[in-house]
Amino acid sequence: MFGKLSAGSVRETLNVALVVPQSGSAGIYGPSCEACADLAIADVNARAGLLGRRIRLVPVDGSRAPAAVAAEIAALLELGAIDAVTGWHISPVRQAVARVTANRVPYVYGPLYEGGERTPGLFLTGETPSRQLLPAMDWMNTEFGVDRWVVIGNDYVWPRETGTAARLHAQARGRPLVGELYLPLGTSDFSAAIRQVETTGASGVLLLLVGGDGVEFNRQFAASGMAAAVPRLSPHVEENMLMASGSESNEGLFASAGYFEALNTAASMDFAERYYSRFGPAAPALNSIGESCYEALTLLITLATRAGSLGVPELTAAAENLTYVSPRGEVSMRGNQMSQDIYVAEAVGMDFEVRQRISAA
Amino acid sequence: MPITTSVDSVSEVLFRAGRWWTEAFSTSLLDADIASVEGWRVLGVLRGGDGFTMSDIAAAMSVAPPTLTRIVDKLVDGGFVVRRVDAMDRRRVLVYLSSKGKTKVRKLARQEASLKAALTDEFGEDTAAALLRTLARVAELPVPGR
Repeated sequence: MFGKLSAGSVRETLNVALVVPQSGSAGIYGPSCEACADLAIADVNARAGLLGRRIRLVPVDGSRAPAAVAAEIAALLELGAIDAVTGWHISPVRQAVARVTANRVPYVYGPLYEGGERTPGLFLTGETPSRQLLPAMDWMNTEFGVDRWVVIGNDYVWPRETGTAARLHAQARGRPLVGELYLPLGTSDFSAAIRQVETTGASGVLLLLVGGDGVEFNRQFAASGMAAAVPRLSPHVEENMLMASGSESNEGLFASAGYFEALNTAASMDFAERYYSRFGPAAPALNSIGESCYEALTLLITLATRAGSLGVPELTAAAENLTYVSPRGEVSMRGNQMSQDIYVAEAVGMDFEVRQRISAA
Repeated sequence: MPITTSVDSVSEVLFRAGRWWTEAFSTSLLDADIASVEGWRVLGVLRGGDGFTMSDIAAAMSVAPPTLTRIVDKLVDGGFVVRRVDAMDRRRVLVYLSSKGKTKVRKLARQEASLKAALTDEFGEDTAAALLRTLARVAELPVPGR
């Protein structure tokens, strides 16, 4: 299966593994991830390429078990078939892949995540709880008086560590969480979770369910009649999930993220124009998760151009004092982590309306 | 000894014809990506290229809307179709084939061509065409007694 990919020393292209979900709970994000990644390399390839080489994306299915994804990346590296790794995939996959890429090739991780990643050569463009979810909880308290949060998430490292950050934050504010519930990825029956919202008397739900799981929860939550009374806040709900859940499930649904299609800044509108002129009006809806793949590739391109190299020490040095304008606005690097403006938005029908900027780059 | 289908038994003729079609259609078409006939039927409805609403698709396939939601959810998870808010009416969702979905539709087209060829080989071009036209009308008849 790797026959088409020749070794690094003789290759004319610079190959980047694009690890995005092709099925399962997170599969809903796949098409927009692929389209945004394609857009990110289009301009570079139309000019001189990166370090004199045209970038080629090597798709890797990130919806499989972490060990399987990491094994494929390891095999591609052994063959000299890839020069870097990027994409959107869940944290357990990142942790497994990072053990393979550490100190070998650059790895730029797009998604929002739990924070604390220190693997050498791993750069992160995503939002972390202290700047994304926690300020949004405070905003929801100020705006709507939400003071009794319950966490409902999938059972893996990102929801659990984000839930812990929310628990500590809520305690510090004197408004402790009233419950935390973590369910396996691929859950389809959320009646126990919805009962927990009812019995705890929660006044807000922190929704940390991925993709299809979040959609199914939203449908069942709205069917229970609680949507208007108990607002939901998620760092993860995006435009595809709003459309899948349907308008009737979106009342009282809030999201915080560094990017929304409805952001309407000059930088985001320029991005949307380039996206739709390339892919047409039937392209996958723009959203923070797909766009994070654009961010990740853009950071890789920017770092490598600045460093004149793909070497991990050179890229790490190039990240110092790096600031540029992306679709999210002005972004800057702090260590291996991108810092960016973050907004909170409210779902109105099947669209988001941006309400407030809650963190500054 | 196998029991042959008597043409007097209308129910058996039509039932067995339907089952033959489903089996012939499924063989070498169903795969790990799209494992149900219904999933393939949605791709077939969408192949025109323009987006369709869920109610358009449900009517075209005569399936109940909640059933269609499950089928489309699976296709969305696999990245074969995408939902878009209708720019003309932002309360409506349109479903489109993704680029991956368009690739799948080529497989569907090949399968349909081979089934049509099988009918033509057996009955001749004119009879096969007449058979399909007639069956298309059967599917649109009102249900007697309803």
